Amino acid sequence: MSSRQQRDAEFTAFVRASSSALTKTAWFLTGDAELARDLVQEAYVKTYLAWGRIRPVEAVGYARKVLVNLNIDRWRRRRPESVGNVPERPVPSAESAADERDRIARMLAGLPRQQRAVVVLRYLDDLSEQDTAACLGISVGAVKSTASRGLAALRAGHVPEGEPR
Amino acid sequence: MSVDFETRLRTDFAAVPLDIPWDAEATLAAGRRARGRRIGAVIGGLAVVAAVAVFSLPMLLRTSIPAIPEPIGVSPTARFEELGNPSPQRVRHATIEVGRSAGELRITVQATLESGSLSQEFTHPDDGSTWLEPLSDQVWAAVVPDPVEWVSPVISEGGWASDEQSLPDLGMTAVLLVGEGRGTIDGLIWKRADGTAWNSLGDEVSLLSNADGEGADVYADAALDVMGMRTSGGGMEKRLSEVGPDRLVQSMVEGDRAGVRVFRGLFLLPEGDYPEAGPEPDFVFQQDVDHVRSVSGVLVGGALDGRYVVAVRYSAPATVTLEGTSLIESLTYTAPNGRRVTVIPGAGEAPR
Repeated sequence: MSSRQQRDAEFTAFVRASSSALTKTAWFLTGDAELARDLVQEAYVKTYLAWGRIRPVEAVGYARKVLVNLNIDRWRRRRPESVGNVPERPVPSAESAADERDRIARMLAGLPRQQRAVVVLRYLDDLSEQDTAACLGISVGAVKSTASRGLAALRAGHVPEGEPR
Repeated sequence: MSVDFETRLRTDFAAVPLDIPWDAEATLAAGRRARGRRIGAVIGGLAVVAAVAVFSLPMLLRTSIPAIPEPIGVSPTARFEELGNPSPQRVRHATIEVGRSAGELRITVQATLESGSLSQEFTHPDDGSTWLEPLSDQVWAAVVPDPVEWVSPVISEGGWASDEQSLPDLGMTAVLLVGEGRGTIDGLIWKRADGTAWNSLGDEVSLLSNADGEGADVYADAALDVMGMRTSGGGMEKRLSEVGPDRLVQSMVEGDRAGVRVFRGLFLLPEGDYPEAGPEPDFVFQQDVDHVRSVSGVLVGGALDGRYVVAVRYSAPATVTLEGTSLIESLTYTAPNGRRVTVIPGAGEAPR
């Protein structure tokens, strides 16, 4: 097997092993399945380009960091849909009650971007405070305070089912 | 925060069913294509360098060596990657190089678009003014004479993606803008590190920093005829001339998050109205709207110094569409003379 074939085989195995976790992270960062898929795909492409420089044991962390940064970049670049003075009117929902996944996503949707990222990395990906700080490029103290504010907001405004308000 | 809540959150996350099938072979193919493009770009770049060297060597050999070498000019370069929505005008990568000499800035912009390449050179007086030029129907570039916290384009129409890169050696910022369609940029507004806002005409802009408690800045500028908000997720703006006093300045969809649509609204109150120490305004929303929070504050600096604005953020089911009347039925606040003022968006002050 050539070195290129070996590299590609390693990368493919890495994708198969990590896609479920990364997609889940992306979904909870964005709340949108298509967007999550695009972000994960772009993160994998950038990881492939760097494959020769990263050790296999670091690959998931590298891809996750790329993913989080891509999401932040998306936020920076996105110009929200402007509707000017055009008013809005609610239309009754035809959808039934949201499922568990959407319920948690709704909880997260009310959080500011960084709080959301910290909560997802700490409590979904179960990263340590140090690893979360490294992934987001912020201090450990900022992770602690941001996580605290995020949890407080979730508890105050979006209590999971079964939790007393 | 109790450990119980953290444990429950972890349990909730772990229990979420989310099984999106992934095609590892297709991902590998995408990686190979990206690698091929990168190698092609490097080879192309080397070829250009080699060609330039071959053609310029004779000229270099004819050039006399000065007795006292001229100082080497500083030409910082800002680099941009992947900007704009998918379209022929999407920028794959671009550079803005700025050289300073003899009272002039020499600005070289090179951009690789989906549809081809652009390369243009400009000169601009090195006098602290802003350089802003179109490179094509949908791609613009700018050099702002300050280090910035953010830059917002004042746009004529359509949506624009923008990115900025600092040029620390010059104390300036390079900006690249890509439009969704054809359009023009009327100017730029940016926030400096000292907390003041400025426009590309050289005027100070009225600014309310951290208007929502989450880092959003509200600005209003009579010279560029714009009022807007800069948030972590982007920005919104509205022509100031289209905004009457006591009106909803802007309502926008910030984004959808799994069944929830988040909106922001801005109110510019009449001159002299709404004391800083006064109570927060009362909002009345239509059914199905969750009032998240509203914050008011005073604009500082610029022509609208001292005017009060109210920023509100609220959410509704993602099935909400835009038609008819506003989700905000009314806003009520207490004026300095103690009277209660109720504003109906789009209709001005409510009759009493």
